[in-house]
Amino acid sequence: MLEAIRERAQGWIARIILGLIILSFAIWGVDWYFQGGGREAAVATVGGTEISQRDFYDALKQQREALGIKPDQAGEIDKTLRKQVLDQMINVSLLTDAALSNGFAMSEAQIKAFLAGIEIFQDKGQFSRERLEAFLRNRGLSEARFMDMVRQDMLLRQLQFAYGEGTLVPASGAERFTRLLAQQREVSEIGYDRRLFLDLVRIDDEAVEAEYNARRQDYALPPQLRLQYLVLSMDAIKSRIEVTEATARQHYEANLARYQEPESRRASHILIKTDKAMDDAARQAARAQAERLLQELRKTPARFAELAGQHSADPGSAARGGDLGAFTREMMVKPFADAVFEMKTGEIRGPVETDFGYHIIRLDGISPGRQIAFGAVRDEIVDELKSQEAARKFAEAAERFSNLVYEQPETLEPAAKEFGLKLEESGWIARGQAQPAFLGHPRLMDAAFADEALNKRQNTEAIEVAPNLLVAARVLEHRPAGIRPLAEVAGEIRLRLTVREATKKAVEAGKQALEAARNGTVPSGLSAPMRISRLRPLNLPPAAVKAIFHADAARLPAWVGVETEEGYRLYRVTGVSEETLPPEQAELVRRDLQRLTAQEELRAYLESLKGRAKVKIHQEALEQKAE
Amino acid sequence: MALDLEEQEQLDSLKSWWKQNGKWLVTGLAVFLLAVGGWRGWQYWTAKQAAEASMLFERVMEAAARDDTRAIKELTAQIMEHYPRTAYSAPAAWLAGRVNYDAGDLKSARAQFQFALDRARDPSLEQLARLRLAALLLEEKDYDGALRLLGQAHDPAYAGLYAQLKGDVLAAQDRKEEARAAYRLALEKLGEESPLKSIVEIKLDGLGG
Repeated sequence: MLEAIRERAQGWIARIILGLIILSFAIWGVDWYFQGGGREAAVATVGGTEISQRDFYDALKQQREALGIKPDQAGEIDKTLRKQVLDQMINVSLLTDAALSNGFAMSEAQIKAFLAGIEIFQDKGQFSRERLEAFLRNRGLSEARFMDMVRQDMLLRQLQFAYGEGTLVPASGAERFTRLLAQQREVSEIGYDRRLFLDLVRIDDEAVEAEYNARRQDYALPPQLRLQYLVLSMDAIKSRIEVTEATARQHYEANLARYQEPESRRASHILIKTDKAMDDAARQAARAQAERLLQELRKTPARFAELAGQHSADPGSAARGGDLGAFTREMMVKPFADAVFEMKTGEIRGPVETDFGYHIIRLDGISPGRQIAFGAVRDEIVDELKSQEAARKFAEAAERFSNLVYEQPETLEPAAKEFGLKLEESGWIARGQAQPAFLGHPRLMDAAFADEALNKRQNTEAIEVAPNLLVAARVLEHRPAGIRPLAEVAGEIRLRLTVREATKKAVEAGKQALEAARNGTVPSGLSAPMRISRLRPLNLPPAAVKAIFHADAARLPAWVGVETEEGYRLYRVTGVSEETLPPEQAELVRRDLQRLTAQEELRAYLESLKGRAKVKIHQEALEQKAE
Repeated sequence: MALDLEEQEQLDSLKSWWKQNGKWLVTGLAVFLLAVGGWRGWQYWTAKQAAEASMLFERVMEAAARDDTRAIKELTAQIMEHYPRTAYSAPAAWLAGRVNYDAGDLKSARAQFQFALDRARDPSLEQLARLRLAALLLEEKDYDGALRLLGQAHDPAYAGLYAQLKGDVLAAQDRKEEARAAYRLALEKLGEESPLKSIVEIKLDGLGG
């Protein structure tokens, strides 16, 4: 709710290191805090403060909207979201409590001064009560409540700065850490890729079958249907409507005005720019400049192109001597179009004021409008009339269609015949997997899986699966839920098992090589040595970098190995060299440490408050639907 | 007539009661009024102090945003001197300490961090203040002092940070085995998604695991 304010305040907020923790939730909670609870069911009690169910749902709604989650989407996402929202409201409550009980204070005068500094509440650089009141009306907030919200926001911001800015990262520690980041190690590598082991793996039929039996649920098939169906669409109705030449011509004659090419004019202009934020003096100055240009042009009209190039603030046309090309009345803003369409060819007029600024205009030419011949618009008219007629008839046709499929539930033929529709047949479809997609409409699926359609093989009712799209169907064939047969999936199971087995063999080979290497047998195929550091790990996987730097530098060469997606990688560490980072990079590292430590400190402070306060969550109120 | 007599008697007993207890009643009332007045006055004074300190603190925040260290020093000194009993004195001391530390004046920084510890209001804040003072002592090479502070009782919430700093102190003393144990404890206690985790891991590896 305070986003607008937030934007303004960001300048100095951004300087406050710990933004992450509080800022994301300081927006909420505000109205419940100072009001206190007691009248409504509470979702949680934090120390002496209650978080009411209504406020919780308000915050939840706000967050759902921000994330674009619909309430009916619910499920896991919503569960997580509920927990997050509640956690954050509890955090806000704890921190506000701490701020107030420790004696942080925010006076009326400070709040007013803060509001006065916000652009949206200013008029010509001054604080404006009207602007504030308009803002409040807009959001349906009372002034007292808004002041409370701002007050809490400001208090939390003070607290965050007060407790977050005192973090001290000892220089000696930072230096030690920087050295560790800069340290380089010389390594050679050798990979044991699972691809090399694929040929060595034999998977027999028993193993495939065992895997199939162990994971049957992975191969489950939903119940499926094959449908025969009819589609009644607007297009189908339209295609059966005839429009005679005479009717079309009659429509043309009656609407002559619509079939005209509008008049277009060609003009050039010079724009002296203004904008809404300008004060009167600046606006006057712009107008005066436009007047001066106009005087000049009245004397020497030939200089129009030259002056446009020099003075016009419309970059596109200025480069072409002010030429705007040809346009119709609708293409231009009203004051501009009004002027142009009154002018005579060659006339220079101005200054004309629009939202863009002051224009000086020269009319360069007129192409008058003309009537379009019937022949050129005949098809368009016929189509339009058919559409109108179809729209008129659709409701009636839909009703007739519905009755036909209902009255003779054992066949779709009569309806097909009456409306000239083709009986279609689908392939195997299931809920959520239908082709064409409209057959998957939940209501149609429900109807098709209902007893009448499924077992008695009757027509479903006509269902509107999309606007102006009716479908009626009957079941041709039904396959109950089942499991894909082994024969169908054996291939993919075998492949998966082969890869798994090959990976295992690769890892085994790698581990053996590691063991052997540690005992003095150097494997063949090691790469040329490369130097890596934690800051420049080249393309080594993170786990490998970790292992390499974990190796004891006192006993070289050291051997380490890591499992990877593709198998196994073995590394020989042959050298360690201490390097130093350039000072500016070391400074960046120090700042990062400072920022991360500060974050952790504030988190610990909050956790500590939480541990000491009595936080009680009322599960039943939380799960109740109070929306 | 009988009634008058009764009234007279009541009046007399009231008078004698007043003679005996009146003094106490008046004194009691006076004490009560004084207490209420004093309480109100104290409340008023505290609120006034807090409001003034808050205003100054806002200016500190603005100065920090401008990186104006001179203004920070002046304003925080004012808060510490004139508003030591407000919530703003400890934060002001920290900030002043940080600025002095960055400028290499460890002695002032230490005094200010000690001030912050003395003024920290709630127990959660006091533990934070102790941690920060310990970091400064490490910088002053007062290793025993730092370890003493870190050895004091603290909430589980702070366990990770305390253990990490303890590791730093022990590492600075070259007590590798103990430093490793402290870092391992820190890894265990820091929250699962704590950004410090990978940093402690690197420090631990730096000591040879």
